[in-house]
Amino acid sequence: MNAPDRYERFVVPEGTKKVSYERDTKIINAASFTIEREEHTIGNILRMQLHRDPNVLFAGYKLPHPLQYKIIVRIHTTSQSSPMQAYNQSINDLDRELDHLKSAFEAEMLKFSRDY
Amino acid sequence: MSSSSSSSSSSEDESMSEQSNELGLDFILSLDNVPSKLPPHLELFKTRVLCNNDAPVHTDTVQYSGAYAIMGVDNSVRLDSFCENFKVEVKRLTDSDIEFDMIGIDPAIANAFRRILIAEVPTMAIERVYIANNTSVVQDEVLSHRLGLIPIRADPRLFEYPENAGDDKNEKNTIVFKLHVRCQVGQPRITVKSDKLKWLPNGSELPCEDVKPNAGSKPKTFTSFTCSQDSLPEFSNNSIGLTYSDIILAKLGPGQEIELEAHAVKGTGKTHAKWSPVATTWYRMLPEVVLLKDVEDELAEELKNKCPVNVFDIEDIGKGKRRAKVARPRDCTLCRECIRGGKEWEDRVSLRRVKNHFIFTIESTGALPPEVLFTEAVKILEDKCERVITELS
Repeated sequence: MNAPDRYERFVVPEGTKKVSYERDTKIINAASFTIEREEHTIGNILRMQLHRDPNVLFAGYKLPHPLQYKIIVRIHTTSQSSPMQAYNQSINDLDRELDHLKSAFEAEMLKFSRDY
Repeated sequence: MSSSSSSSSSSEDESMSEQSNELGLDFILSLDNVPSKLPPHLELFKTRVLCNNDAPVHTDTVQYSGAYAIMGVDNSVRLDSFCENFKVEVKRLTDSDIEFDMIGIDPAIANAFRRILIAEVPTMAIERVYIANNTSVVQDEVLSHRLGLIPIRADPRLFEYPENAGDDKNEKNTIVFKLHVRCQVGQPRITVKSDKLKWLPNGSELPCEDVKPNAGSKPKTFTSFTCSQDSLPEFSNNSIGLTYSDIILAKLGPGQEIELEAHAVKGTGKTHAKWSPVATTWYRMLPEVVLLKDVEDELAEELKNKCPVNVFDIEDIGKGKRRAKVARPRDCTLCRECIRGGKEWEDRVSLRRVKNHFIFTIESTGALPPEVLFTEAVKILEDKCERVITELS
């Protein structure tokens, strides 16, 4: 059987970076981030969060192939920012949003268990 | 006269342009004829999916911050505005499922939670089955597959992942179950159900075939537990067992027997669906039913009868007149039955979905309560975010 091992979908191989960064040679303030062993789950929310940033001109992601377990996120920003800055900012914002979401859910669960 | 007025106006223009350069967007937005918010029709397209008779329209989510820049409206979402607008409301909670509303989030986040709940929240499931004897009509591999799909009531947070297949199976990463049933000769056929699986807190009892035990010493088994699992404080409160005791595993005829040992380990649904902690989880956008015109008397009765899920009610408005009203919009399945029957019905009733209001449902298999599953999913997503930022070099 030539099917790849299932664990390859989420275990980053030895010597491979989880996230690598490559600047675009033709467009200023544009870069591609390759995130290993991730898929639509993180790609889509990262794209969404980048779109919310006023300094981001373009943000998109793709899965090169279903059997290549990685995503490529491409970011193009204005001169006021940089792709690295936009990437870091969006993930930090996302982290804080999720933190707020979790505490809101836990508070609602407490309220619900008290009321019923 | 004219020259002096023109010079004064040009100096005004210069000062105004300097001011606008200094203040930028704030200055532009403060002008009288610049809209501070979207016109109603665009606001409707932005926040609602309109479900017409032929197809839904305006289904896309406008996320780009500069989407309405030409109109002077900033579409970017900042953290403080997200925190202000976000709300969670639990609508239903039972032992196995939860229904709650998430208001003010993006489809991308809702979908991320759905994907994580299905494939990335870990649980315990039977991974290895050691069959000592199986004379039933169910083949070994079919029986093993059926055992693997049985939901196990054990908190996966108390266990570790097995490093790899050859590792020691200890009390921290393995749960052992034993099944030994026999149908006596001359007895009627028996049904083997999951309640026959017995938890072995002391680990495996089957001796390894390849190791010859020394005289008087205990034979080597398939696990190496240093202590009994029920002696550990974390398992004394959370007893290990099966979620359902009535799952049919096999049927035995007279003289047939099954003797086996099943080892459960921790894993995620990405590896195999048996490790998925949910029966299913899904979300839908909040339906919104709007009556564009008053629907009265016979038409109201017709509208009420059209709807298969009783979204509409009829209210008395005096003078013997009756009017239709939307009583239960949440129950609407968008079957569009109410807007069929000609253009006039489409002009009376508008079916919509609210783009940022998600009705989320989680059905747990029983390993963890549904509310815990959701908080675990949030933690996993947070952890993913941490990893993709800390490991950037």
